[in-house]
Parts: sequence; C-alpha cells; structure tokens
Amino acid sequence: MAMAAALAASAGVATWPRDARAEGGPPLRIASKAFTESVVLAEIAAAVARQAGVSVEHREGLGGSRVVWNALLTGAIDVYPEYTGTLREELLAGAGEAGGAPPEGPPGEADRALSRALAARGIGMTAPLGFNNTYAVGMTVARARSLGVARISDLRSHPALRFGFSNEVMSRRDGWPALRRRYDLPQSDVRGLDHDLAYRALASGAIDATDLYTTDAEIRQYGLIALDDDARFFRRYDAVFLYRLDVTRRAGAAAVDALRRLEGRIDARTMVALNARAKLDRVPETTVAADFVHATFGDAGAPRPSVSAPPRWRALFRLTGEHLLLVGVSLLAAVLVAIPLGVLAARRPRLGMGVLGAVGIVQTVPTLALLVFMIPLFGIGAVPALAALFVYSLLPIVRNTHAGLTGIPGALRESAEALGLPPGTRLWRIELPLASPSIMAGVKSAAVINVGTATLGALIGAGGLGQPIFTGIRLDDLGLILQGAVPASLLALAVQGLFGLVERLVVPRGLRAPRLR
Amino acid sequence: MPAPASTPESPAAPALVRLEAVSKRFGDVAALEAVSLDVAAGQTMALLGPSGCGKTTCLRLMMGLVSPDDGRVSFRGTPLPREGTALRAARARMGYVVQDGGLFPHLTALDNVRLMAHTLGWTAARMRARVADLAALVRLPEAMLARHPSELSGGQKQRVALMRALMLDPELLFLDEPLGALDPLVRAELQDDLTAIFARLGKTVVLVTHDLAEAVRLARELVLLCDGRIVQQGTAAELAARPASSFVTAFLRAQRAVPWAASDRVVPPEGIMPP
Repeated sequence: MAMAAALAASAGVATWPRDARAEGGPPLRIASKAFTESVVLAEIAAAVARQAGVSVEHREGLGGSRVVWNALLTGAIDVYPEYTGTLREELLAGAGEAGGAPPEGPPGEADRALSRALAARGIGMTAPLGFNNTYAVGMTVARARSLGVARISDLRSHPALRFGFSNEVMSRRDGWPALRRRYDLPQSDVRGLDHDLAYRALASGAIDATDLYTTDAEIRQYGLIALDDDARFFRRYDAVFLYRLDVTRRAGAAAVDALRRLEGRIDARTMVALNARAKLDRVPETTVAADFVHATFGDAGAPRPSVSAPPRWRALFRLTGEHLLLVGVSLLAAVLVAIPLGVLAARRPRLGMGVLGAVGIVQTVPTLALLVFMIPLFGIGAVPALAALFVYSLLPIVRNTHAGLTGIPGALRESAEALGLPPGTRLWRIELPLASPSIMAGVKSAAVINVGTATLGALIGAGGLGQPIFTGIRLDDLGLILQGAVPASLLALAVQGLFGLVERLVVPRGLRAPRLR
Repeated sequence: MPAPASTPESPAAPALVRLEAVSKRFGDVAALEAVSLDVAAGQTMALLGPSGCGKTTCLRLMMGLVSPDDGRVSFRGTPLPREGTALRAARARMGYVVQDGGLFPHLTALDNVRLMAHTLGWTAARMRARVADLAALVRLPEAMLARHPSELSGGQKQRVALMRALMLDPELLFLDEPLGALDPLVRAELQDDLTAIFARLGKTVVLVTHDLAEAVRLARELVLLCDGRIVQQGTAAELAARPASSFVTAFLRAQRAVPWAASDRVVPPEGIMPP
C-alpha cells in the first residue's frame, strides 16, 4: 500500500503540474488559488524564476486560501501569491502580532509587523507587487442606477435585495458577517456561490449584488460597478508573494531574488489588463505571463518556455491516465482492506455493527472537507486524494461483503459446518464464492462512484479529469469543462462495463443467472 | 476407542450417540426438556412428531450444531466437543443430508461430493474410485455429476447429497426431512433406494421426518416427540399395540398408517423409470 501510494505520488508529481523542467536542482514548487489573477501571478513568478535558471513546478487552481496556506506551512509547496489583507484578517487572525486591527500609520510599518509574524512561522514575504486588490460589493451599472445605489450604505434602504457572495466571503471573519455588522445591512436572502458563477447570476438578474475583486476582468466584461466603500470596511489587500524561508537552502538564492524583481512592478491597471487577457481573450495564462515578463524585463538571454499547448488528445490521454491511477490504486487498497473488514463484521455481529457504523459515518463527511483533512497528513497532490478516495470506497464494499455473507441460506451454512470444513476452507471455498455476486456489486459501485469523486482531486492538485473541469469553471469556458466532464462520464461507463467482465471471471458459473439460449 | 459406557438402562449394544437429560431453549421457548436418548450402533432411528416438537433440535444437538443448555451429549462415549478441531474430527465420522440437499450451488455435483475428501488430501485416484462406488450405490449416472445443482432434479440432488454425506464413510448418518421437498413418485423411489442402502451399509441412521409412513419404511426404531419431550419409543408395532398415551394413538390414527414390516417393498407401476 505504501509502495502504491509512493508510486502514485511520484506519478502525480511527474505528470501533474504544468512545467518546463529546466536545469537541475530540486524544482521550485509554486501554487495558485482557484482564480485567474492568482494563476497569472503564479505563472509570472514561474517565468522569472525560469529566467533565473530555476526549474519550476506550478500546481494551479488549488481550492481556497486555507488549502494553499496549509500547503505552504507544511512544506508541500514553496511559493504562492497572497494578499496582505487575507493574511491579517483570516490566516493570521487571532495570532495577536499582526492580525485584526487595520494598520494605522504608514503602510510600511504594518507590513513590517506582518513580515515578522510570518518569519516566526518560517515564511518570507516580498514587498507589495504594486496593486491593491481589495473586495468590493458589485452590481450591474443598470441595476445600481435603477435603485439609486452608489455606495454600500445605500443598500440599507433595500432589504429585499438578493446577494450571492463567494463561499470564502460567506465564511471568512472579514467577510459577509463583518460587512453586515459594519453597515448594519438588513438583507436576508444571502447565499454562497462560486465566484465565477456569481457573475453570470448577476448578469442574468438572479442576484442583485455579489463580491468583486477590484482587479477583476469581469468588471469590464459585464458592465459592473464597485459600490463605494464609504465606511472604509474593506482592508488593503496588497498582492505579495509568500515563500518558505528554507527555499534559499534548496533552490538557491536565485529563486527568491527572482521573486523580488517583481516588487512594485505590477500596478492595478496592469493587473486588470492581464486578467482581461487571460479571462476574456482566452489567452493561456502561461502566455500572458511570458509576454508580461518579456515586455517588462526583456529577454535577458533566457529561453521562453514553449507555450504551445500539447495537442488535445495527448493532454486528454495524460489526464485520463492520472484519473485511472487515482481510481485504480485507491480501489485496490480499499478492496484489500474492506473485504476482510466485511468478513469480520459478518463473523462478529456486535463488532460488525461498529465497523459498519464507523465506515458509514466517514461516508457522510463532505468530499472536499475530507480532502482538506488529508492535507496535513499527506501534503497536496495525488496522495491525499488517494487517501480520501480509499476511505470513500470502504463503505460499499464492506457493506456488500457483510450482506453477501450474512445472506447465505442457513441450510448451506449448516451443511458446510456439518461437513467438518475448517473455518479457513469454509470461508475461501464456500462463503466468499457464495457472497461474490454481492461483493462484486459493491466493488463495481465503489469504482463508478470513485470516477466521479476523483474529479474533486483537482482542487488539491491531484490532477486527473477534474483539472479541465475546474479550470473551465474558473475561465468560464464551457468547452474546457466538457473536456473533463465528458471523458469522466465515458470513463464511468467503461469502468462499469469492465467490472461486468470481471464479474464473469470471479463469480462462479453456478451462481450466475442462467442465460437464455 | 474409549470403552462404551454401560449403565443398567442402556441396551445391549453400546450407545454410539447419547443424549443425557438434555434441554435446549430458544429465547422463551423450550425446544427440548430433559430429554434422554440413546442411539445404538447399527440402529436405524426415526425422530417423529408434529412440527415444533423438538425433533430437529434433537438431531442438531447430536451433531453438535447447537449446544445444550443443560445435560450432556456424548459421541462414542465421550462428550461431544463444542468447537474446534476435535469437533471437526467427530464430524468426519458423521454424514448429514438436509431437506433440499444443501448442495453448494457454485460447485458442480462432483465437487460437492469430493469437497471434504479433497480438503483432507485424498489422492485423485482414491477419490475417483470412491465416487464411482457411491454413484453406483445411489444409482446416479456419473455423467450427472458434471452438472451444477441448479441443473439437477430434486431426486438427483438428494442422491448427490447422499453421496456427499457418505464420501468419508462415516459411521453415522443424519437425515433431516430428506424427502420432504420431493414429489410422491420420486419420494417413493428414493425411499426404496434408501432402505436398500441402509441395509447394505449397515450404518447407524438417525432421521427426522413428520411422515409416519416414511419413518416406518426407513427405520426400525421410532421415537415420538411432543412439545420437547419423548412420548414413546419403540418399533411401529409396539407403538400401535401398546400406546403410552392418547397422543400416540391420535398420531398414529391421523396418519392412517398400517405398520409395515421393514422388508416390504413397493413396486413402481409399469413403465415408470427412476428419475
């Protein structure tokens, strides 16, 4: 099992992230969150690092600030772009030194306090990159005008409005709860939505307001207005790069120097333009980043990474392979553990109830939460995804093994006992074969479900067919989404068919339904 | 072999199986109350009675499939072990045929029969020879053995079950309503065959049935139970001549049975072939 996990992890590392494996040395692992600006910034960092001769791996689109932050703290990644506001309000909040109160006095002073707090955790922070991407409450220009709303405080007089905020904003300390308190807002129809989908909801009139980032490309695309934050609620969110201080030991000083070159080089207008190019013009982030770096720093003799995307079918092949690996390894491990557990549960009824109960409870944990739980144990990438998929596969197989064994007619069990068969032989030659139709049904069920669940692995960098799906959501690209969803569905059907064949091999002939001639 | 226990009450032949004041309860229901019974070697015994009288429980106690709450079960003079290798060794000397055969559906008839011998490590030659003998004994064409139980008729399944029970040449044969699921013609045919087989092999047989006529056909000693107790024990003639209670009379009368001598044979009508 450890071998299989290691194999999968190395496969995940080898095939997953987009990289141009440059010269030797351990690669610098850069990550980004699941929105365009973060990916573009990370690609820019990757480009300057490569220019400096450092090899880079970029795990893009990880789900949520907490995931990336934990990955940085535990050393699963080395660098990622973050915002000072997020650090103060959310990630370091309650830590005392730098969390909470808005920085009074010169920004430099506050940033130095932040740096000290980070350094205590082994994290370094570059100086601000040059733009403040803060939150704003946004509405369509038309709706704002018709309601006569120009500032957030104006919303107080329209309690029936429907808000749809990103899930992060809904739950963050500095998010909706704090905003509502500060402005005393009466709205109750407030729900959490995926950030990228919220724009569509706004445009179609399904919601009246959502959260925006002030450098979002969609502001231009959908004709939106950011309401004036008259109570000065939203903090400064200066973009910076966070990096592990021990990076200099591993990848050399060149990596950090490369990052520092970007300090103060990207202003708000530039960022909006980069976002628009990536999101609206559908230019791949790698290209957007490379062009920016080229324009800003000149070529400096370093090779531009090849930006032509590999042919679709080859990418599809690779992604399907990763996906199959995730499903296959986790399923194999689950079968090896769950069948014995099922046998135990059938043999000892009271213990059996406990086993079934425990496995059932795990099933109720939401998939993404389980994936995030695995990160401190296994880092990010394929391994935590395998662990989560393994855990989810247990219940169907344990339950079906138990049901198959306890469903054996009493007369048959008695006959086996009366013959004087030793327990091992009885299990292997009589009980398991008689239970095999049920067991196979459980395995097949687990396999097909796993094909679907494995798509979520993309949110923690495990690759697979979930990657184009989530990238497509982020880029608002239906074609990309389908490039992941359709193969995943076909894969599920294929897996079902495959197990039909396996059943014919495993289930004894005498137990199969008689075929009509 | 341990010396057979001999008490003033025991018959001349040593008891192969002995139940001493055995009781068994399932929940609130007393299936058996202080039952004592001896099965002598070579005896053919039928446990009889209305449903719920405890006859099947009796059989299962003798086999060690259940343990008594009170009392003792002995096999060949020593207490029957409750579990483990010792019990399995004892089971190797017992054959068991249950209603509907109890054949494992995922194995061929041949594999069913050979299963235990194979587990014990018999050579292929020895198994082949034994199977051939048994097939002849139960009058089953060997070609039928290649089939799975689902492809066999009721009568054929019981013949296979009998072969399986006899494979290791046990001293003791237990049959639990073996012919209950068969239609009358097949049942009659098998009753004949069983009688012949029992006579030829000289095994000790304990069979459970609710059918008096069948009991008389197949066994010499009848044990009539009611509500967990033995009402009377003896040959059919003895039960008819000196009934111990009105229950016995009623039971005999209800079955409209005429005590037959065990040597009577039933001749199948012309033109009907054995299954």
